[in-house]
Amino acid sequence: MAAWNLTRQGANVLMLDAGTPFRRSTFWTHVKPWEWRERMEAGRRPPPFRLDDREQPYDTPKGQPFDLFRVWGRGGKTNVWGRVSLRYGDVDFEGPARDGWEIDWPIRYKDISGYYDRVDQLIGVCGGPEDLDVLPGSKYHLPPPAMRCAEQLLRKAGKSAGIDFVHGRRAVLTRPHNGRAACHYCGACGRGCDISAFFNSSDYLLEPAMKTGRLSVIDNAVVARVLAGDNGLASGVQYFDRLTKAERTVRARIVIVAASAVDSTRILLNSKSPRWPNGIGNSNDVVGRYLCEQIRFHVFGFMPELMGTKALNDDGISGEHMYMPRYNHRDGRKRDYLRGFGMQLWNTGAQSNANFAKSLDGFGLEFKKSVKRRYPALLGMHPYGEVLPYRDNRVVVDAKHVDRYGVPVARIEFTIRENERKMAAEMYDMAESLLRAAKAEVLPFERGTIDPPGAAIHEHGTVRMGRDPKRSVLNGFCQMHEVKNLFCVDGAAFPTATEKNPTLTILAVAWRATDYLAAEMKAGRL
Amino acid sequence: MLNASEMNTLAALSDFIIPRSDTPGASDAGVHFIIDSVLAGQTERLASFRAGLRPFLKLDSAKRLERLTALHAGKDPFFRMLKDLTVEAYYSTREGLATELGWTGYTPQAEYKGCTHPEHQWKKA
Repeated sequence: MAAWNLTRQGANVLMLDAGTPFRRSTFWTHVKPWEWRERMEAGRRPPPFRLDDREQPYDTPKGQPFDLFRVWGRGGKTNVWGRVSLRYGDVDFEGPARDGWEIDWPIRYKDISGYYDRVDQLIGVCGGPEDLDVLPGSKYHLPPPAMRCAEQLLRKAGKSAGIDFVHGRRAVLTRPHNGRAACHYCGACGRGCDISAFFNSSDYLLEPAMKTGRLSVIDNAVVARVLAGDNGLASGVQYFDRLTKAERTVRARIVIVAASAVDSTRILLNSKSPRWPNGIGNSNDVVGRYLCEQIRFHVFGFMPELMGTKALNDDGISGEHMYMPRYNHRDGRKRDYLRGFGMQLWNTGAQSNANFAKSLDGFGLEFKKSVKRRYPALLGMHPYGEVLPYRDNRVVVDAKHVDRYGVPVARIEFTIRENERKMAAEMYDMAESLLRAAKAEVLPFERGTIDPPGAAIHEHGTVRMGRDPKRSVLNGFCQMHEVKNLFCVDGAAFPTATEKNPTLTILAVAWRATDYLAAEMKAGRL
Repeated sequence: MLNASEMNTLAALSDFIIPRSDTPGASDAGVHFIIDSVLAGQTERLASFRAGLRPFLKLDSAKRLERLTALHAGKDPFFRMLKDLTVEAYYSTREGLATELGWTGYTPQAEYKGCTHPEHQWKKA
């Protein structure tokens, strides 16, 4: 987004991308499960989206696992992301100010709503007309996909349980948009879309930016450090060639870090100099701290109305066509925890596997029939809850463990606490009440189970924005308080994680930040 | 890799888990080959799987079923492994996923109509 918005305003931008570009023509998008196996047995491999931890390790303390998912290559995680695109509202931006936990967001919905509108129009987001305090509406949604049978039935059941659902909001083209073809509902988005029918930053932002002639991209450039000049400002960047390990430096007037939260943080912490012994712009020891993520678990059931019916093609736009927004701030009940949760609905209807069958008892003909009976009736519920920012949930670097280029790796120290466990209990209550209202047959689960930290792939908080330079790293324009020509425009900039998926907001915040930067550059102040 | 006797036994056992009915069964779908392939990369798991197979090798069909039924009732770990491997493999084949269950996914479509059943529609309040 920074590259796109700055080049179109006349700036020359050099982008250093840690990975090799992914070629759409090599994606295994439509490969059926049995064809996938044949290809693998023949020695072929799908594009390696996920960065191998053996190439680039990270540490965690004993007993505190963190499952970090990184994609190095143009577009990063947007090549394979879940496409859930939910606006934050003032319920979120004002959250910390209301409950007093940690620092306030330095922006409000009115500051960002125009940017959400622009992002919706630029990338194409499909969704419904709903407009809630916790999920503000948009005039620019593409048509939402039709709901699946189980989603309709769950929505009805939700009424009797007092729980509302809305159309899902996804960065998927349900009609042609800005010259791109619409989605063809093959449901295989997680493998990468070979027709680019959902937003990914490579095709939607980098390609147009390159057409301006003002964007250069160096691939396989693993940035190690932001370099500082004698005046304390950023003077450029040191990077290593991923293929040859050669060390290079580039000089720049402005440096923007957007390597995804953990990698951006690691770069900044490693950017040490006599002026910045703790990492550039980090005299307040805030960089790396306040890592927030989201808690999540999975509950499955079978809708009685769909048992034994003929399986339909339930692929749609892959994943949720319906979403349960947060409601715990509105029902008047007092809670013993802060913040809230929403719920996504994936794995609804006929799936490309029958993994639920492993939890059904028995074997033989009756077992085979019971699998077939249940297969079209599957309902998957995936609640997401906000993890508070805690000072000692953090990313640090340690010179004792360096990577293949000699640069200290990240160590992620993260645990969830009482607030999250109490929220999870209500999340389970909610899931159970919906299954009861739907009269669904429940696939056995263990109450209290939470996915491993990192599984939601929504890291935030480690280079947070705020009004007070003693307690934050960036201002509301993602500009470092202490280093005016250094910006961080990824999820690390967020002071809270909320319960919502961040990508849409990252795009809006980055657009706003780079509008400010472009204006500062034109005015000669940067 | 499993030997011929083990493969024949595995084919028979997988057919007890998911038999041929009006649609193909596990061995029709080549499940025993898939399991063999999966286990080839997992030394410890393969060793314990072989150990679980061994008592079945020389039994006749009726005695195999008897033993399998007893292991299932006793929540035996070998039974669990056999069932999980069979289920994962079978429902990843064309016979299992498409023919038996009716999956038609990962296929480009002109439109997505979703649920059109009148009895399923939710109504606005």
